[in-house]
Amino acid sequence: MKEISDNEIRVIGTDSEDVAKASKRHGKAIIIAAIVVAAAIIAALLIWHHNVIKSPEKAFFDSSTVETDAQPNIRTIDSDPDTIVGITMRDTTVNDIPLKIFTPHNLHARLHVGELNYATADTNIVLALQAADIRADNLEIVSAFVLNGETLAKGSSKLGYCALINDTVTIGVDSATALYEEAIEKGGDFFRQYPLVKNGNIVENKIKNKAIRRALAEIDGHITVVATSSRESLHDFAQALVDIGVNTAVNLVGGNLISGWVVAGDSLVIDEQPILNGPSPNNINFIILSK
Amino acid sequence: MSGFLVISTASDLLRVRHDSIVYISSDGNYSQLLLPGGEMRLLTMQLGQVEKLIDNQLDIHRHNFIRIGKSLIINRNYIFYIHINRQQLVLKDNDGNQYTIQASKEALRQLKTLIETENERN
Repeated sequence: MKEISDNEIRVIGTDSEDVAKASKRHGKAIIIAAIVVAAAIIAALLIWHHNVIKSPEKAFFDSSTVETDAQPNIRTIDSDPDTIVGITMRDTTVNDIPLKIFTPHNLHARLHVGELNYATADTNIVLALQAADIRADNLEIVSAFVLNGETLAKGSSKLGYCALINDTVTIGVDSATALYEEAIEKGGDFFRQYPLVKNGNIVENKIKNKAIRRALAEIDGHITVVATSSRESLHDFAQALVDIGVNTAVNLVGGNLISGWVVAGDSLVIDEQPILNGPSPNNINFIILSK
Repeated sequence: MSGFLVISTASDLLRVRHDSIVYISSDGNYSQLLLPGGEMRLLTMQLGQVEKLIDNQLDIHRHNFIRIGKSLIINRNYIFYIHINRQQLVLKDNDGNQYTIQASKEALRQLKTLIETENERN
């Protein structure tokens, strides 16, 4: 039987091409009608513009009138990964889900507790993403959390974990791990989150809503950060991670009111500063990668 | 053809009427078959193999089954609601139980068109 992609359907016992052709004919008729209507609207606008509009006044913030002596921030990133210090990014789409995959190179890694703002933060920070969840009732950090060797929260309700010890980031899925004690002994950091992928397989979670998703993901032994720009369920996000070859993945705080940023190369690729009704919770926490 | 799908392995046999299958979803190397009422049966074969069995065994009834992408086969008689942007397909059995499954927007678009086209012909 012919292979089928996720974007195709096939009535069993018929040729899938018949279904696609019928769909395409139906679609073509709609497209032709839309083009005719759009052309009529454009023609009407052009006529109106010619008859009515005079030369526009220059806006205050018109870039052609504003002088600046700001220098462009151009840095050449060496193509050799061993000498890159920063984050490289690649885009891909899996199962209709656009993903950004951020790969850190030669960066320091730690956790931070407290509000962070890109505008006022240390410029060496190239990635700051919310890490552990905060309880809505008492605003405490959910599950085990260690900062600079100090335990701020306990528990293993979430099976995914991330340890940051001596700038080495390790992620895994287990209710118990020696890395928790090691983080305490060595002054490192540790947090827990929903597991998404273990040994290349989806880990199902009870959360069913759709939201912007972030994850720490291990691909071929390298830790990356994977992010969506669309709202997805945890299951679909985990499936997409599996499909791009992720072996282990741990969730980072997702949602529509999250804070954080990512600078990849020269570009501020993610910049989220939600407008909250009040200050952020004291225990808001971030995973930070810096130069 | 009796209208029954018979799935037989070395150790067991499952025999189910074609109209008792709501959908079959992929589960790694296995498949999950959902019956009305929510009962789920694990099939120890991949979805592609299940599709072949449906094609070979169910005769005219096989056209009631639609493969959607790599991971789903549905019985079109249970289709209740499609929302393309939410990527939602809702199936509903005769007892009113609803089952919501996810599929790609393009696949749902094609499914919606298929149903609309067939409805116009009838």
